[in-house]
Amino acid sequence: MIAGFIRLQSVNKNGKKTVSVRATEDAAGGTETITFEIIDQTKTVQVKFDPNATQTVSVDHTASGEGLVTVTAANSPQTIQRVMDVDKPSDP
Amino acid sequence: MFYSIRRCILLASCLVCLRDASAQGSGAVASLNPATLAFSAQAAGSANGGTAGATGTPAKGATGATGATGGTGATGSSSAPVCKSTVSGAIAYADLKSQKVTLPYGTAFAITGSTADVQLGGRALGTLITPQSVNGDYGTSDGVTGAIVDSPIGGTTWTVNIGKLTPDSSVTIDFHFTGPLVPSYVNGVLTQMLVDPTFTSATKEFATIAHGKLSPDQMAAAAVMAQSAASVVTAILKSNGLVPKSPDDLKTALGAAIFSKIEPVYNANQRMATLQEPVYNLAGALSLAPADFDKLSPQQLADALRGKAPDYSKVPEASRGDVQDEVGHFLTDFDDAASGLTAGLQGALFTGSASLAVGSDQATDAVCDLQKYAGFDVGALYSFRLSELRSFFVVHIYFGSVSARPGAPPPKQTPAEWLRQRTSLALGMALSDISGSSNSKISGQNAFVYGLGVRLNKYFRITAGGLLYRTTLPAGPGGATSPANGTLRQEFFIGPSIDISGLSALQSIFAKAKSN
Repeated sequence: MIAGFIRLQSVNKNGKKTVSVRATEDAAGGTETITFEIIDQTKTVQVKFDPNATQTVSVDHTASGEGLVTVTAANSPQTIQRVMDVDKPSDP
Repeated sequence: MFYSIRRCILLASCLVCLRDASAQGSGAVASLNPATLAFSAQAAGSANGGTAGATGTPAKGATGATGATGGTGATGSSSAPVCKSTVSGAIAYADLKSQKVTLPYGTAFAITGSTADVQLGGRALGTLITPQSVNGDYGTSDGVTGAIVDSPIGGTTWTVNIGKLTPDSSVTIDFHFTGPLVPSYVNGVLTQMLVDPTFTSATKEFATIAHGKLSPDQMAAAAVMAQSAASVVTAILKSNGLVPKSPDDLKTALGAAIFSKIEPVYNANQRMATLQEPVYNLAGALSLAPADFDKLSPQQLADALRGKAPDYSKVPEASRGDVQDEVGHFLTDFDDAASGLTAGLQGALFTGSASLAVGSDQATDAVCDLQKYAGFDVGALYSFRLSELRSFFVVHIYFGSVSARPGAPPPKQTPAEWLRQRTSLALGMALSDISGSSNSKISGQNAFVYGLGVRLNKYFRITAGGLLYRTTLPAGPGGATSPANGTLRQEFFIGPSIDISGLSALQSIFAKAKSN
């Protein structure tokens, strides 16, 4: 089960837009289903975690504008949410 | 001779008893005869000043003690509020606030103070706004109201002018200080906004409405949230005693400013929630117990993160860089949100109202008591030897000016002053018998009376003295007339009376037009 999300970021490099988050697994480990809601788009990924591991999970998207970006994990109360401008160009 | 000595003892006993009785306020009236008591109860009920006079003294004395210790601490509990002369300058706000002075009546006067003396909701005015001007209004217990004309504040001192007040009244003065917010105060407002239930509810509503929508729709929902935030900020300012001079303009400006900073305004709380997740142990990094860490407000967390370098070695190694990054973003968001709020409040003027209700009840009359030189009484006198109860009217001449209300604190609190405030020389005339006597010994029913009066309160008095009259004695057996018939005689009398010059309509005849 996911024990925490942190560092939710949006990257836009030359039109390729990505949202990433750092996720920390609990002592159980296993495959986690993580859902990204990026403004009006929803993306789901499955990621395998070692026990207590922390790793970056990212998805590409085509949403545009400023709005809510939310990341949740199946079977976990953990969530992270920010208002972001996903079109904002990233620093080179 | 025996009768004279007995009369002197009786008169002295009366004076001692009256001092004790008047100190207990209106209870003293109960010692009068039933006929007088019925009359006095009605009069006291229609004019609070009479009753208040008796009960006001202990309360005022106590206030004076508080003011002395809380203010300069110089004079101790024996200092009483004194009537400040308008000639010697303005009334000091600090003295008025601590009830060390009472206000003059019958003449306009000024109140001056320092901005440091003014408190709004328990906070110093200077910590909230930089006051630029002061105005206000006032109202007295007898219905007199007035406006305080706007006066600019150049430095730290201010002065306002008050119109004429009526004597023996209580006053509530509302001072309105106007100026821009102090920048350091805005951070506190932001923190209050972020934890305000209305704001957190608005953010949840925003998240619900915006969920899954296109960006323009989400921003429309964010604009609504910004308006809610603006309302919360306005309410917070109001709770601190600050009211915008132009509420509509402020709400518009504030809503726009918050909306322009919607990311940091919304994300500050979200980042704080992330940092409070136990898995990252930021509480340990700040050497705080988890329970204490969770109680921190956004401002307190920002101060803690800036005030002492967190020991990130306490954070799990795999998340260390992430936590440091999140901390950086939290601080940036908090500052950005504060700058947005400052921008929204910039240029807006606020009015902070400080109400000085020093005369909100009868026990704390703020205006000087009316200074009287004479009183005019009507009442009933009893002569023991004549066994007659007669009506009389008397002019009471005081030994100098006295307060209309004998319970008002005298300038000098000495036994002699206490006595001077109450005693008077009585000269007048006894009129007809009211006890039903059919064979009065007083020729022509009229008699000259003289003596001493002692005031119980503003309206009631006991007078004792001599009754000088010419006799009309009944004819003896066989129609013989007594040799004493037609001679001038005098008898001792005592009786209660009411001071009709204490009634407001007659006060100006017997009193000074201005306080000293």
